[in-house]
Amino acid sequence: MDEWRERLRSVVGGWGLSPEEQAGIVDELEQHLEQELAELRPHVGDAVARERIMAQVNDPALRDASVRSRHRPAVSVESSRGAARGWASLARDIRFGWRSLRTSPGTTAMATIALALGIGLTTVMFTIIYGLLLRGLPFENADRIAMVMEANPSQREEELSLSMHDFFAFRDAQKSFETFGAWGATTVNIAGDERPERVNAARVTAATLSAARVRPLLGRAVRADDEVPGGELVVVLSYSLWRDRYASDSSVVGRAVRINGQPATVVGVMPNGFEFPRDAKLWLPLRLDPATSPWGSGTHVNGVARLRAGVTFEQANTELASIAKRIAAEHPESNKGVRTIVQPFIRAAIPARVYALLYAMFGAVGLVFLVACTNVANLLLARATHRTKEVAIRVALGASRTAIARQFLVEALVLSIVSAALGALVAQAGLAAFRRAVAGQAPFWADFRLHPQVLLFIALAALLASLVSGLLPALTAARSDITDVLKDQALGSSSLRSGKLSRGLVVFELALSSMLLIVAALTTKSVLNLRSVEPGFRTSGVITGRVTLSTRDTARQTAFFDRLEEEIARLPGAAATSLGSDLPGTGWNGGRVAVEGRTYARKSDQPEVRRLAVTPGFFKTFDVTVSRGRAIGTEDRTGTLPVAVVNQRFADESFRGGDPIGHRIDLTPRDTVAHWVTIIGVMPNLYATDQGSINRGIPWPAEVLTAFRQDSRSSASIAIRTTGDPESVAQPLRTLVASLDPDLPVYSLTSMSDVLAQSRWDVRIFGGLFVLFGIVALALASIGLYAVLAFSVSRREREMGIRMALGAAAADVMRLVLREATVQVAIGVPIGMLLGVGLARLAGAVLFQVRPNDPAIIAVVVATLAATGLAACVAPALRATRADPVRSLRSE
Amino acid sequence: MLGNDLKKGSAEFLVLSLLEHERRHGYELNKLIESRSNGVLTFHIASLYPLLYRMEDRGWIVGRWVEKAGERRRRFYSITAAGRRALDALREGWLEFAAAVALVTGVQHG
Repeated sequence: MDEWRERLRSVVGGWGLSPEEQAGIVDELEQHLEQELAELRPHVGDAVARERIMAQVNDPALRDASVRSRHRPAVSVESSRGAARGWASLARDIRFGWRSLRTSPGTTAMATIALALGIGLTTVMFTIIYGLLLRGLPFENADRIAMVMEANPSQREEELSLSMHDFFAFRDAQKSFETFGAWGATTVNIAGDERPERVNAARVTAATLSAARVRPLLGRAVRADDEVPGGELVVVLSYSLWRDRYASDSSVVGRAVRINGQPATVVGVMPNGFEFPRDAKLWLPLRLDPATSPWGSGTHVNGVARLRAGVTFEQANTELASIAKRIAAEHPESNKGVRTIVQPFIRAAIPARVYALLYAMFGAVGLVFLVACTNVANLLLARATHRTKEVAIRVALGASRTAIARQFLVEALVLSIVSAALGALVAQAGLAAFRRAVAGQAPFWADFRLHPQVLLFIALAALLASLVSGLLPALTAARSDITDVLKDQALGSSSLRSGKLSRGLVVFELALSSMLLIVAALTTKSVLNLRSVEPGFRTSGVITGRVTLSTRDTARQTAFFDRLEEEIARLPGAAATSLGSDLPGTGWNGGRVAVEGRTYARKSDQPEVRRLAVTPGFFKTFDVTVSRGRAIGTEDRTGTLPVAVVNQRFADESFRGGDPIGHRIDLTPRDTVAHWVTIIGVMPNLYATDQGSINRGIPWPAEVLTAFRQDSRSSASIAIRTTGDPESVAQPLRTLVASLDPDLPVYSLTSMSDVLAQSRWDVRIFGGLFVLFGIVALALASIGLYAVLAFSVSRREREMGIRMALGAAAADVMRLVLREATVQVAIGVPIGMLLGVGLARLAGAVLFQVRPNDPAIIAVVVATLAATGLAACVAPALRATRADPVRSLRSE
Repeated sequence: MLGNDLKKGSAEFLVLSLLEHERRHGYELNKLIESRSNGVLTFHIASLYPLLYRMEDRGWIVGRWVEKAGERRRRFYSITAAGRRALDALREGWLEFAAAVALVTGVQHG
């Protein structure tokens, strides 16, 4: 070979391109020079011509020319080999990835745990959402089952039930539904054969059950002829009631029982898991008689329907809207401005705030997942940087950039698959805990298990994780400049570039974690607030229960409750007793009231109050003292002037500092007949956890107490303040009630403090989950910060060593490392704070008495993050101060 | 001979102009520059080819191997759309620059 050709190969070889690229360039330049040689030779002779050519090749400018790889479409090695070889090389990549991950077990374990936590938590949340909202009712074509409600926007009333008159009008006129039923939730006493028991029940028309298209397990369901008022009463049992109460006895059909004291016959048993429409343990026919009341009053029902095939929710809404318009024209006094809403059943059954909460939580775990991916990306990036030399050699040996990138992606994939398997175990455990926590609170269709769809979700999450976390390292590795690396391995520009990248990732991680921590801190504060709340009434040493009478005879009801209260007072250990329509703080029997002499432009301007009817013992049992006027006394009975005690909030809102005593309020301003009560006293505000108060964000709502004995009612809450252990009164109370009426169960027997604790289970559970997310995110972010700083210190060990040799104190070097960490914290944390406050607003349903931008909480979060960040960089910083200049220089 | 800097700055301009209507290989480009400038401008491979590769990186030109039966493959360069835009911009800039130089120095274009 000519000397100049050899020389040309060696010069171009120094440019550090792939072999294919090199060959092309050599070819091109060779042709050029050959042509020039051929042209020169006749003029100057062969020797001089060769000399000139050699001079061009030896031009230092050619040697130093910076020619970058230009990704010329090289003949692809893989594509020419066919698919089988492609799979083989993938398998080789996986084996190689596995081996290479095992060479750094610490990093791999850390990344795997981080990702397993991320995938596990995300799966838990996805399962909750899937099982509650997305999976749907477990019935045939369940997505066609609709809930029909009304709303009156002009009165700011959402989600109203239908008056029975409206229901019949809609049912008879509509063509969108194949079945259109009505139902109402209730609780009933079942007795007559076994012990008396209080159970959730549904009164349904036959169409309600047929909308579900579920066949009874035994006997039959409710039929249309059962709905005739005055006919023989039938009852259909749920599977769980049949199993628990009748020991799955198949001869139960035809048995006589008593429902609320009425004789009834069991006609059927529904299959396991069927509690439609809402947690029904037994079904009774709903008997409606529109003739008994004027249009728009009387019994109200919920509408449930099944869309005809081919009819959309939109079409059904349009049709019902036109019917509603017609009804409103015929009955303006009750139906003016009333709109109908046809919605998918679950959408309607789950309150909007729960939707918002669940999706906020899904977003939150999504962030944890991202933090975990970022962590893995960071750890892989650090490894990629350690491996720049390996990569450079592989490139020099002819590996294409795609092959290098693929190798890194495959490594991330291997890691993700292992993490996904671990994550599934984490999810399994988390879901078991969640199922225990919400037992009895979740609706019947909720199924929080790892369904195939959820497993698919895990697989997708793993794939996503490997893409998200593998892409950056893969691209960085593939882009790294091998000449730089081979020339100067310690301080190659590629490692600096990835250093910047991983610092960026840590900032991102810190931002995400502080976002989560803000929400976690707010929910923690909420849980603490709930625990330390001063309800304004005694909760300790009080046992409560409830009874509901079967009789409709008001005289007998009054007699029974008088007798009951007297007898309870004689129970040993009972210090004070009260009966009430409800317990303070729970239940919602409120509504709008009107103060005498005031006019209200809109119904929604009338004050909305909680209402509670109590016996005189209430004030002693619950330690409530009236601040002005007098309490409800024994003299306030049927036949005397109806009285009321209002709370301070009501007095402030409706009387603006004036004295409310002596004024009258109408408790039923929407009825034609007023129900006047005269205010006799003012009491402090009482805490309330009922859904109505919570939805309106007022745990201390306006409240009106009336006299239990000035009204008749069929059920009462019992509260007994005890001298000793409240539980010790439970059994004597049961015995006492049974002696008064053997058919009558005492239910909800529990202490007052438990009543309050249970009432906000959602805050405790979901708030607790947020706290968990925050802690995991914090742990992951500090691992990330540690890894990046440790890595950056190890890269700069030589620099640190020289600094120390030149007289820098250990403190200076530490400051150098800490400064790097501080910059990252200072950028990441404020960004996360701002986003966190936004996320907290979405999670408003589980916040209690905290403002999302509470400065104290922000301070705590910043301090936590700063402390964790500092802890994460202490070890690397200390290592930097121990850098030995002699050793680090020698290692070059 | 022209100063190196001036040559460098105008080299891209020259290459783009020569590729405007026709694709050419590297040797041909060098010959054309030399002959059309009456031997004032010549390039060695050390300056020409790295320049071509840079221009290719920038997406102004594109080089393709062309094989003809019985001949050795050759690499031909052609101009891209981005190259045409660059050429227009360079032309405009050059005219402005030449006019400005003429105004200052009193030297008129032949």
